[in-house]
This record gives sequence, structure tokens and C-alpha cells, in this order.
Amino acid sequence: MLRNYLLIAWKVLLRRKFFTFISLVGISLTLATLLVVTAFVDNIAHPPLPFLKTDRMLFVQTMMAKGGDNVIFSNAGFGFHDKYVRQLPDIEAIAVIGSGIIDAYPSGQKVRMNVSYTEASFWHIMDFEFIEGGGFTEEDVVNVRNVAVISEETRTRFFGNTSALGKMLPIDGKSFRVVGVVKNVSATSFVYSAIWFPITIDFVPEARSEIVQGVGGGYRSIILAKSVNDIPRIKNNFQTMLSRVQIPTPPFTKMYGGATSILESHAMELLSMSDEDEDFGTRNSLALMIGVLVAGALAFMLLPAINLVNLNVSRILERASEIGVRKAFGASRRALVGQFVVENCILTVIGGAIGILLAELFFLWFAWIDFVPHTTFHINYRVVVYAIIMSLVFGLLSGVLPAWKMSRLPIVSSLKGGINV
Amino acid sequence: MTSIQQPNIIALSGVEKMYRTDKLETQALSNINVNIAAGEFVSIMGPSGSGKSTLLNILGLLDVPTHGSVALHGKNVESFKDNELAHIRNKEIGFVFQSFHLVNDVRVVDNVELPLLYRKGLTGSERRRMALEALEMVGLTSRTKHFPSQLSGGQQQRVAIARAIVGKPRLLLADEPTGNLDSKMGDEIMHILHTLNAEHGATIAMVTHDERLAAATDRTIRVFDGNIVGNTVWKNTVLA
Repeated sequence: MLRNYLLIAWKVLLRRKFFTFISLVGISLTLATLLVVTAFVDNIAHPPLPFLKTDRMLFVQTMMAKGGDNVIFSNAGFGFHDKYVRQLPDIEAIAVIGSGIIDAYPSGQKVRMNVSYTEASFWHIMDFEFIEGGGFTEEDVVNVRNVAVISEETRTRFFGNTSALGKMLPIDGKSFRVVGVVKNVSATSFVYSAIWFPITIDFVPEARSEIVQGVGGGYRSIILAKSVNDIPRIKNNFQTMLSRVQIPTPPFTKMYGGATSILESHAMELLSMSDEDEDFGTRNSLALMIGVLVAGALAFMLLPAINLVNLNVSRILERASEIGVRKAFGASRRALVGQFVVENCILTVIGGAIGILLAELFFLWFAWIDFVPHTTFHINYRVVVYAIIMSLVFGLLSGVLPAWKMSRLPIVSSLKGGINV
Repeated sequence: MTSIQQPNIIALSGVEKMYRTDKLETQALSNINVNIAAGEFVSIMGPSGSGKSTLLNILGLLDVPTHGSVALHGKNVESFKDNELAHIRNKEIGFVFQSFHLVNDVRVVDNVELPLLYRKGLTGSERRRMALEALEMVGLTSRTKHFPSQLSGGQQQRVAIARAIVGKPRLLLADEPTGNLDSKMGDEIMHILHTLNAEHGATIAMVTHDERLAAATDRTIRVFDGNIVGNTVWKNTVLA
């Protein structure tokens, strides 16, 4: 039966070339747009290097501190990460990270740069691809040595295409010896930076003990669990630890937040900011974000789907006789709905395939204009799976209503060809 | 070949059919009582608009009466749901239409297979075998791979007959099957219908305008203004 459906679907597509063309343009553009968004999300959910061990990673980012009527949302102070997070059991490594923006003057021109301040363990947790040298060491951090790891782009800015290893990097009136050069990381990455300094470089004396962000600034941390199985336990221990946190700085008395996976962290950043509920950091932001994305995708597909519904309904008028014959010979409503939905899904799957090609063209264009610095988007197997799912959802959205209407046509008037849909 | 002693395949009792629009009510059939026995070849005659096609549609369970009952093999069908009626049509009834109503996008053999697509338990090869057998019965084995548009009107109607009989229904309903054909092709089609009736025991109800074709059937029901006004039993049974 499916062979028969496919055969007829193909013939109908060829018979109504203009209808097919218009439909395919609408479907492929819609799906291409959704695929581009999907590829963005996929890039965040499954980041490339240096995130090789994401399944063992947890991120401690924005925290909420409360006290009386006072609420603050920010990264915690270094003391919180150092005194509490670092002590959690089942942790293989933890790296505390501070970040900022500085003005640098390579070749005499002012350039704003994202910089990070971190610990030697950062280079163990993350899998940067070093072009030259390596990360700074624990000794560099403890002894507050003026060393730096720079990105490939920063090397080009300061030193052209020559080696930067051992050369001095002039920043803020100081000179930093370059100990390593890494391949550029995506601007969407949690660890995007132009230069990495030892965390101690940035310290003010108060930083060591601050729990809530204060003059020492805010810090994030990345936890590397010993095993994937330890992740739920670490998350629970984090909550237990939070209940014991002593905040010496009034008016804040309690902190809220969570150790979250990379996707949960993004979901939290997108959806949970400034929500003062006490489940901050533990509520299921990920499910909410997926819900929002799915709802958004459906809403985006709705308009072209309605358009396709109208085109499909006009197609019904031409096939009235066939519907009448099929019903006369025993086709049930369900069988007819099935047939026309299958036909429509074939159209949308073809549209999806064209959409994939269009999306690939978009990605080439993004790369050409450097739309997101140091980020290459591409269609991978996950995006193809999403594309197939979206095509089928689109096919169902735009096919079920006309098919249902079609299946309800009275047989006699269908056979006569005079029907009102 | 009258078979009035045979049990009824289908019986209409007190059937009325009213078509209603916002402003108009049209009585298409009034108090129709018809029995068709197994093995009968019945023709239905009447002028245009007399209600003969409506009668055929009700016999074929394609339409439902406004009042009255329809019994298939003695069982009333008015309480049946759409799906059940579809199932009965698929198993028990075959249709031949004046304008053939073939699906032009698929080949002859696929057209003939169409009713079998809605019958559970048949494999693709079984469907194909049955379709080829039906095409053989109407003498079209050499045209199985053609598309309907590549055939003459007479050949298309033979395909339509093959489609109507492929599922071995007990009742064959034909709505002016020769209406779009010249007399020679019309005679060919009638010959096939008579063969199906005589040799395969098919029960046939056929709407026709042609007195000559009607006279070759077992019995003619005459319809006028929605009423049955005559019932002629013929003695000669085979069209020359």
C-alpha cells in the first residue's frame, strides 16, 4: 500500500509543478531557518574543542543571594568556590575562572579583548588544542607570575604569523610572557577568551574570602567529576553544601544556585535570571528551554503550514473523483487520512532535504562574514535527525487538516466532482 | 436466468431520499421497495432526474436514505458506522461508473488493485495476482502496464470492470456503464457483464437509458419522479 501511496504522491507532485514549486519554496525556507537555529543550539549543547569531557563537567555560574528584601544575582566570590565548591567529594578537578574585558593596543590600535583569570587545573579540565607551548602551571599561579596563554587570533594581532612562545605581551602597562598559544574557540563557548592569565594576577586581598560577589569580583567554576556516574551525587552534595554556607557580609544570609551541566547552564542563563524563587539553580530550566524552543519552532512553522493547508485544500478539489472512488471501494477515513498525510510528508521531507542544502549555504555565508567569531556551523547527523523530525512535524501540521476534510467528503458528490470544502 | 427463488442480496424497504438545501427540498425517491436476488441481472431505467442513480447509490451503500431501511443479506445497515460500511462495500460490492473514474496517475494494474489495498491480510504479490486475473477476465492482459490515458474508452471501462470484480464482490453496480461509449464498445462491455452474470454468478444492477440493453437483462425496474412505476421481467437473457 505504501508503494502505491508513494507512486501517487510522486505523480501528483510532478503533475502540479507550480504547486509543488511554491510548496517546496515555503517548506525549504522555513526548515532552513529552523535548521540554522538548531545548529546554533546544537553548537551550544555539543560544543567542539575544548569541551571533550562535557559529560563529566558541571558548571557553577550565576548564583542568587538573599537576605531580607535584598536579592542579588551574580557569579559568587572566589571564597565561595575555594572554600566550599572545591571541598565537594568525588571531584577530580576544579578550576575557578574570573573574566573581564581589557583594552589592549597591538600595533598601536585599541582593541577590546575578553580575558580570563584561572587556575592551572583549567588546562587539565579543558582540552584546548595548543599550537605552541602549554598552559601555565600551579607554580605560575602560586607565585603570581606574569605569564599568559593566548589565542591564535591574539598571537596574530600582537606578533603576526611568527611564533609567540616566550615573547612578552604588553597589557595594562605590564608585560606577560607567552607560555602557550591555543586554537581559537567559538565566541558562543563558555570559555571564550583572547588571553588567559593566572587567577592570582587579578586578585585583590579581599577576593580570597568573598562568598557573595564583592570588590574581588565574581567567579565561575568548572567541576570535573571522576566519573559520569558521580554527577547526580555531586549535584546533590552541592545543594547540601549550599545550606551550610556562611555569608559573613550582610544583608545576605542564604545562597541559591546549582552545579549544572553545560546545557542546563545555558538554559539557566536564558530562562532563570532574575527569578527569585528559591529553587533557583535546581529547577528544570532545561525542560523549560526545550519546551520554549519546541513551541517557538511550532509557532514559526504555523504560518507556512497554514499556507500549505490552503494549497492542499485546493488540491483536494482536483482529486475529488479519486477520493470518491477510493471511498466507494472501501477506503476508510483513516486510510484516506493516512494516504494524504503520507503524500504531504513526502513533500515536506523533500522540502527538508532542500532546507538542509539551504542551511549549509547559510553556514558558508556565516563563515564568510564571520557571523559568530571562530565558530563553524555545519550539518551533522544530529541536525539531520532534527531536520527529519521537523519535516515530519511540518508535514503532519499541514497535512492532517486537509486530509481529514478530504476524508469526510460525501462519496456521491465527490464522484460528481462538485464538492464544497 | 431469473433467480427469483434465490435469497435477496439486497432489499430496500420504504426508502425515501430527500435532498435539502437552505431554500429547497427535493424528493429524489419516494417509498421505494426493491429486492434484488442473488444471481439476478437487474436494469434500472428512467428519464434524467428520475432518481435512478440515487437508487443505485443507495443500493451501493454510497448514500443513505432519509427514511426506510436497506438490508444486505437480510441485515439492516442503517446503524452501521462509516468504517463498517466501507468494509462492506470493499468486500461485497463493486462499482462501474459511466465516466470510468480511473486514477490516471497509476498504471492499469495498479488501478485494478485499488480495492484490494483496503482489504487486510493480502500480500502485494497476492494483490497483483488477483488484479491480473481480473484483467484476464476482461481481456486486457496486454495492457497491464499502460496508463489509463493510453487506452480507448472501451478499454478504460474494461479496466473499471476489472477493478469492480477484483475483490470478488457479490453485487456489481453499474451506473450507465456504456453511456460514454459507442455502440460497438458498449456491446463489448455488456458482453463482459453478461458473462460475469452467467458464468460467475455475479449479481448485477445496472442503470441504463438504452431499452435494448435493458431488454437483455433479467428484469427492468422503471423509475419516474422518484417512484417505481414498473417492473418488467424479460424472457430473453443474452445480448446478441
